[in-house]
Amino acid sequence: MNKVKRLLSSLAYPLMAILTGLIIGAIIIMSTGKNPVSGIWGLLKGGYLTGFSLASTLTRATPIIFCGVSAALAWGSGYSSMGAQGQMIMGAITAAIVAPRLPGPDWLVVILTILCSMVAGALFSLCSAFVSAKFNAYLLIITLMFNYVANYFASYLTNYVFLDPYALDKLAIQTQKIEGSILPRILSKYTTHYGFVIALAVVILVNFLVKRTSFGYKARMGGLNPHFAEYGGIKSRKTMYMVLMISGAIAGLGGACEVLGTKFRYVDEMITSPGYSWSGITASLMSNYNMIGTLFSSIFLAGITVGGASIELTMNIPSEITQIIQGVISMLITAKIAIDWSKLNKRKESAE
Amino acid sequence: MIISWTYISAIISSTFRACSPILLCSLAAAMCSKTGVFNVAMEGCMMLSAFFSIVVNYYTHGNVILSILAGILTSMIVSGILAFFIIKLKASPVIAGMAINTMSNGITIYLMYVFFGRKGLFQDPSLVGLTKVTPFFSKSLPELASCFYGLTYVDYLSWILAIAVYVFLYKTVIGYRLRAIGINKEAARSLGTPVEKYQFLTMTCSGILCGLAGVLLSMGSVTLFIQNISSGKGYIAMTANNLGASHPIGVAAASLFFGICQSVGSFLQQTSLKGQITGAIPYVATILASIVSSIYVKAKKENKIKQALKAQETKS
Repeated sequence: MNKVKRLLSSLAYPLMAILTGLIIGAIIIMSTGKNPVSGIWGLLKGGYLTGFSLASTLTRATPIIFCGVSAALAWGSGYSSMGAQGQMIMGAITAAIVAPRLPGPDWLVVILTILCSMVAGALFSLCSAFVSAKFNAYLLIITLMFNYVANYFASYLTNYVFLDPYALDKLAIQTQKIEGSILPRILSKYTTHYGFVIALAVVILVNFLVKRTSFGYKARMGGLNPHFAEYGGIKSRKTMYMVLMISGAIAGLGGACEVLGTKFRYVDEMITSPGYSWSGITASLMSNYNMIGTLFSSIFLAGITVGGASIELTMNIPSEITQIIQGVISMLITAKIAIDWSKLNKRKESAE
Repeated sequence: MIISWTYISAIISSTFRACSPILLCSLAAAMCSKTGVFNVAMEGCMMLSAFFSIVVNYYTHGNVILSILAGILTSMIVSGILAFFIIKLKASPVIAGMAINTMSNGITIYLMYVFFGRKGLFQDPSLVGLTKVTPFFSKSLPELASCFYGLTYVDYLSWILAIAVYVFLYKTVIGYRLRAIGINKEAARSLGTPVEKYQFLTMTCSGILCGLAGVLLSMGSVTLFIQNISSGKGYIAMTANNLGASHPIGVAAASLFFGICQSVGSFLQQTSLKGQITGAIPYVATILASIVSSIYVKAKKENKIKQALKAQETKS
C-alpha cells in the first residue's frame, strides 16, 4: 500500500507537466484558429487509440527507448552526455555497411551486425569521453561536436562510398538495401518489429545493472556526489569510461535496430531529423533516470509524435507542435517546482 | 587553383561575416559564465530572433530598425524566461537551455507555416536586409577595402560590443560585482549584493547580444529564413567562450579562429574537396581547439611550478 502511494506521488508531477504541456499545445493550436479540443483529441487518438496507430507508436518508440536508456544511464551517473545521436548514427551506418556484406545464415548476420554496431557506438562514445576527461573539456560540448562529425561522416560514406547504384530515385542518398538479414515484424500486419523486444530486454538488463550490481552502485554514487564517491574509493575516471561506453553501445544498438527493423538501409539524415536523441533525454528526465519509467515516457513521447504527424495530415496543423509540447514538458520537469510543492504539502501537514 | 589577392580578400571578408554571430553569442556566454550561470540557449535565442526579425521585416514592408528591435526583444524575452527557470525555479541550466533550443526549432517551423504557409525556407523580394557599409577608404585603397566587402554595421558593432563588454566587466563597479558573484556567490551575497537580481539581469541582457546575432543570420549577408538557420553556431560560441576563458578579448580571438575555420571550409568546397568534409571543419576544429588549449594550460601550469621550484632551490 505504501509502495503504491509512493509510486503515485512520484507520478503526480510528471503527469502534471504532461497536462500543462498539452494545455499549452492546445493554446497554440487555438491561436492559429483551429479547434484546440479536436486538435489534442486527434493528437492522442492518432498516437494511441487505434491498433494501427499504437503499432506505429511502438515502432517509433523503439529508437527513443534506446536513446532514453542510454541517456538515463549517463545522466543518472552525472555525465551530461548529448552524444546518443552521434553514437546512434555510427551504429546505424555500421549496420547498413556490414549487414549486406556478411556471409552466413540470416540470423547469424543479424546478431553479428548488431554486435558490430554496438562496438561502433561504444568506441565513438569512448572517443568523446576520452577527449572530455583527458583534456578537461565540457562533455556536453564535446559530445555535441562529435554528433555533427558523425553526421557528416555518415553522410560522406553514403554519398561517395556506399551509395546504392540501383536506387529508383536517383536523388535519394541511401545505401544498398539489406535483403533477408533483417529484424522481422512481430505481427505481419503492423510495423512493430523485434527491435522493440530487444529494447524491452535492454531496459530490464540495464535496470538490473544499475540497481543490483556494484558497478551500478558506483555509477549512481558518482552521479549523486562525485566528491564523496572519490573519497569513498570509487575511481571516477574508470567508471566514467565504462558508463559512457555502455551508454554508447546501447545507442549504437538503437541505430542498428532502426536500420534492420524499419528502413533496411542507411538514409542520409535518418537519425538526426526525427530528433530521437532529444526525445530520449526528455524521456529519461521525465522519469528521473529510472529505466522502467523511461520506457513508458518514451512510448508517450513517441505517441504524441505519431499523433502530431496524423493531425498534420487531417487538420493541417504542423507536426512541430509536438516539439513544442515536448520542450514545455522538459522545462517544467527540470524546474524544481516539484520540491517546493512537496515542501508546501509537508508544511501544511505539520501545521495541522 | 590560382591564389590571388581577390581570393584572399574574399576569404578575409567572409571570415569577418562568419565571425560576428559567433562573437556576439560567445560574448553573451562569457557574460553569463562570469556571473556564474551556465547558458546553453544561445542557439535557440539566435534562431527565434532571426525568425521574428524576418516576420516583422515582412509585415512592415522592410522596416529594418523595427526588425532589429523585434529580434532583440524576442531574444531578451526568451533569455528572461530561461533565467527565471534557472535562477528562480532552480531548473538544470543544461536541460532548460537544450529544451529552449529544440523548442525554438519547433516554434520557428510551426510559425513559418502559420505566417507564410510553407515549411523549410522563406524568401521574399519585399524583404530588406541590413545596410552594407562601404569603408571610407574604398576610393583610395580599393584593395584593402575589398577585405571589408559586404559587412553590415551590425558586424562592426559586434567588435565594438566586444570592447564594451570588456570595459563593462572589468572597469565598472557593476562589472566587478558580477564577477564577484561568479567567483563566490555566497561571499558576494554576504556583502549585500542582490545575487539573483544581478544574475537575472545579466542573462536577460545577454539576450540582446544573441538577438543581434540572430538578426545578422537572417538579414546579414542573405535575407531569408531557413529552418535550423543557426546550425550549431550557438554551440560553437559556447566553445569559443570556453577557449577564451570567458574573457571578452580571449573570446573575440577564439571566435575569429572559428570564423576562419568556417570561411576556409566554405571556400575549400569550391575545390575538389567534398562538402561533407569541409562542412565538418568547424566542428572538428572545435574539438581540436579544446584539446590544444587544455594542453597549453597544463604546460603553463607545470612551467609555473618548475619555476617556483627553481626559485626555491636558488634560495636555499
